[in-house]
Amino acid sequence: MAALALVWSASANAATPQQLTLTMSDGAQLACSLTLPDPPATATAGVMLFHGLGGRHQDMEPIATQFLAPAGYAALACDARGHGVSQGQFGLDGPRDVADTRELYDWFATRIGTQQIGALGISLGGGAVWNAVEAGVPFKAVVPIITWTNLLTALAPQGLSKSGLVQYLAGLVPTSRWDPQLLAASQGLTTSADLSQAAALSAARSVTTAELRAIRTPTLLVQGRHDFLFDVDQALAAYRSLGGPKALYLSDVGHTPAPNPPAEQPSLYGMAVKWFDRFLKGTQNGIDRTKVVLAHDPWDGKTTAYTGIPQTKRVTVNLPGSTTVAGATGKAVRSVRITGGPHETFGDSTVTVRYSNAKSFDHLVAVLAVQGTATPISAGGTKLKGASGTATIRLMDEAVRVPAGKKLVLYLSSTSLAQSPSNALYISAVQPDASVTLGKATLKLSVLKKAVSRRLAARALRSSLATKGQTE
Amino acid sequence: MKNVIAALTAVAALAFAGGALAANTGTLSVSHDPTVLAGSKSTTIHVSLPQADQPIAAISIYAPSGYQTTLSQAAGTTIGTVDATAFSHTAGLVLPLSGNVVTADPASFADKSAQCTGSPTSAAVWVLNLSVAGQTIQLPVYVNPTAGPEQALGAEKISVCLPPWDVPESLGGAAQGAQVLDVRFTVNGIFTTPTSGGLLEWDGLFTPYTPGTGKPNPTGTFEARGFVPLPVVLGLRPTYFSKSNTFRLSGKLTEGGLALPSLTVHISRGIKPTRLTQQSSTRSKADGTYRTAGHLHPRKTTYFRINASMPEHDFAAGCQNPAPATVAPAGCVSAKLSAWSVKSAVLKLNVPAAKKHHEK
Repeated sequence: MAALALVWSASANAATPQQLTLTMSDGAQLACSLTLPDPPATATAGVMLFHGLGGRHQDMEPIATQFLAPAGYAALACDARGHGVSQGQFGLDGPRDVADTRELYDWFATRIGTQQIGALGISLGGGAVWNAVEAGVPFKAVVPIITWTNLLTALAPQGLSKSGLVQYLAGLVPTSRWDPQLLAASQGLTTSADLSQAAALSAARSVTTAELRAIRTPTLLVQGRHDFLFDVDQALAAYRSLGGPKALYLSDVGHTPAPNPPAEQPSLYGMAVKWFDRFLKGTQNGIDRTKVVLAHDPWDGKTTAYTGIPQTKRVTVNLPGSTTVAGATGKAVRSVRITGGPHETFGDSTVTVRYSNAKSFDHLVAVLAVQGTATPISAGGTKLKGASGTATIRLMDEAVRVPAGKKLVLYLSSTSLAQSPSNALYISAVQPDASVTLGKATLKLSVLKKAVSRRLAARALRSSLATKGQTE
Repeated sequence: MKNVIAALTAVAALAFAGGALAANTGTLSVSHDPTVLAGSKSTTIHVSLPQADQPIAAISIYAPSGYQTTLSQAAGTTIGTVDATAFSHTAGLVLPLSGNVVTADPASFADKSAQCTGSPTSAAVWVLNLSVAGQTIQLPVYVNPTAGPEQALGAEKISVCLPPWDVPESLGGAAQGAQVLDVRFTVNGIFTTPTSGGLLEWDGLFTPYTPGTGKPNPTGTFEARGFVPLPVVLGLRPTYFSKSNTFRLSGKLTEGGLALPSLTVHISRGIKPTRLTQQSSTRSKADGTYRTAGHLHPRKTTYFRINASMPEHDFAAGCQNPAPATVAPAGCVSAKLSAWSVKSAVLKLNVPAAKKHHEK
C-alpha cells in the first residue's frame, strides 16, 4: 500500500528553516523548525504546518521555503508527539495534541509579533487543524488537506474496517510510542469486531455537522479525487456545513491510489497561499469567490471551476448471475459496459447484491474497476446479516474518469485482494469453510453530468507527471 | 505491514493467552485432473487445520505406491499454484494467501531439510510462496522416497514443517503469529496416476506442538487420510426410438469401482459434437445407474455428453485399519474422498433420415 508521496521540486530558495526545540506545559519537548522570509522583518503573517502520520516536521519545510516564505509568511512546523524526535505519546490528534497546538500558536504569535496566523495540515495534520479550530485556537484561515471530518466512517465505513489500510497506517508509528488508549482500540477496529472504543476515539477527533456550522474560520478544503483513505465525501461534509468562507479544491494529490503529480504542486499550494493572502493579509485577490475546483486527472495543468458541488447523474445497471463464493479467496466477477461516456465518477455510488445460503460468510467487499486497469475506481464493504437478504455496499466517493466504451468490472469477495493481490484495502477474509451464493447485483453509479478530465497522449502524460524530487 | 502486525503483538498475546484448545481434527484431501488412470496433468493436495486445533509442527503426506513421480524439474521452475488461508494472531485477521509453487535447489535447503525431515538431502524441494498484500511467506516442502518401515505408508513422502503460532517470533514462532488454517496447492506434471484403479489412499501424519512451548509433541501425532477414487466412470449409452422420435440415455456412475448413488448428472446435447449445450439433468439411483429419456428435436443425428462433479466429502469407512499407535498415537481422525469434475466422451446418436412421402 503506497503512502502519500508528496513531491517537491528542488529549486533553490532563500529562506532556511531554523531548527529548535520547544517545551510544552507538561514538559514534553517538541522538535520544530521556524522558517522566516528573507528578510525576516517582512513577515506580517504566519502559517503553522502540520505533517502526516509517521512523518516529521522536515516534511513540511518545502512548503515553508518554496511557497510561504517567498510570499512573506513565517512558518512553524513541529514533529507531532510520538513522531520524529519529539517526546510524548502519539495521540492521533487527541486533546494533548490540541493543547500543544494552542501553546505553539502562542509561542509563534509572540515570536513573529502578530496573531495573523493560519494553519495548513496534511492528512493527520489536517485532522490536527480541524481539532484545533473546533477547540477555539484562533487561526485566521486554515487549509486542511486530504483529511477526515469523520474518522470512523473513513476507517470503517458501514462498520467494516478497511483492515489492510488500517494496519498499514498503524505501522507508521511504533506501538511503543502510542497512547495506550489508541492501542487498546486498534485491534477491535482492525478486525471490525468491536468498534466501540474506536468510535469513542473517533468522536473526540472528528467534527460533527453542528460543529462545522459553528466554525467561521475561512477554510480552503483540499481533498484527493482518488483517495481510498479519506474520500471526497469527507470534505464534502465539511463544505456543505461550514459556517464561514469556504472553498473546495479536489486534487490529484492524496493517499493511495492518488497519482500525486508533482506538476500540480504549484497550483495546489499557490491556491493555499492566495487563501492566506486573502484572509491573513486582507489582499483582495478574488480567491474568496472560488467555490469548488476540480483538478483534471490525469493532471493536464488545468482545473474546472464550479459554482457549487458539481451536478451529477445516476447510471443504473444490473449485473445478473448466480455465483457461489467459497472460502477466503472465493470471488464473483461480473462485468458490464456502460453506454455513452466518457464518464467521471463523482458522488455516492452503491452496489446492491442479493445473497443466500450464507454460511459463516459474515461480510462482503465490492471493488469496482475499469476492465484492463489495475487501479480500481472505488470499493466498499458491509457486514452481512443473516443467511440471506440484500446487501447494499456504499462505494467510496471517488472522482475517476471512465473512458467511453470500456467495461466496468465488479469484484465481490470477502477481501479486496480478489480484484488484485496489490489491492490490500480490505484484507480480512472469511474462514476457509465459509460460503455464500450471490445473485443479481445492481450498480448505481453517480457520475458528473459532464466529464471534464480527458485522456492524455503518452508524451503529455509523461510531461505532466514529471518528477524532480520526492519526499514521503 | 509486518511492522504493523508486529506492533500489535502485545494486544494479540493478551487476547489469546490461556485459551482452551480442543482435540485435533485436521483433514487431508488429494485430487487429480483429469481423473484418469495412468495419466493426470495435475495433483491438488488440500490440508485443512481447524483454528481451534493445537499448533501443528509437522505434516507428512505419503503418496501411495503405484504412482510415477517426476522430480527432475530444474530449480526455479514454477510447477503449480497455492491458495491458503491463515489466521494472524497478532492482527486478529483471517488472511488469504496465494502464489506459485516453485522448485528449489535441495542443496540450498540442507539445514532446513535436516531440521524438518531429519535428513539434509531431499529428492526435491518445492517452495510454496504464500503472499498477501505484498508480503510473502515461503514455505518449503520436502519430497523424498520412503525407505524401511515408512514404505508401509506410501512410496513418496511430502514433508512440511510449520513454526508455532503460539510462541513469539523472536523465540522461533511464526511470523505475524500466523496459524495456517487451510492450504490447497496444485503441482503439475509431478504425479502420474497408477495403471490400476480403486481407492488410492494418501496418508497424512500431523504432529502438533505442545501448546505454548514450541516443542513438538510426537505422542499427539494423528492420522488423516485422503482417498482418490480412480477411475471415475460416467457411463453413457444413448438409444433412439424412431417411432416416437425419442431418445433414452442410460449408464452407471462409479468412482474407484464404487457405485455413485444420488448424483446429479447434467446432460448436454447438440447436432454438432463441438457445440453442445446443457439441456437437462437427472439423478443416479442407489446402485449408481441412471436412465432418462426425451423427445429429440430437431429430428437429426444428435451428440450427447454427460458431466458430473463431486465435492470433497467425508469417507465414513476411511479410518478403518488405522496406522499403528507407534506411528499415529492419537489415531486416525478423518478420511476424505477427493473432489472431482468429470465429463463423459461425446457420443453420437444416429437418427435415420425421415422417409419422404410423394403425392401422386
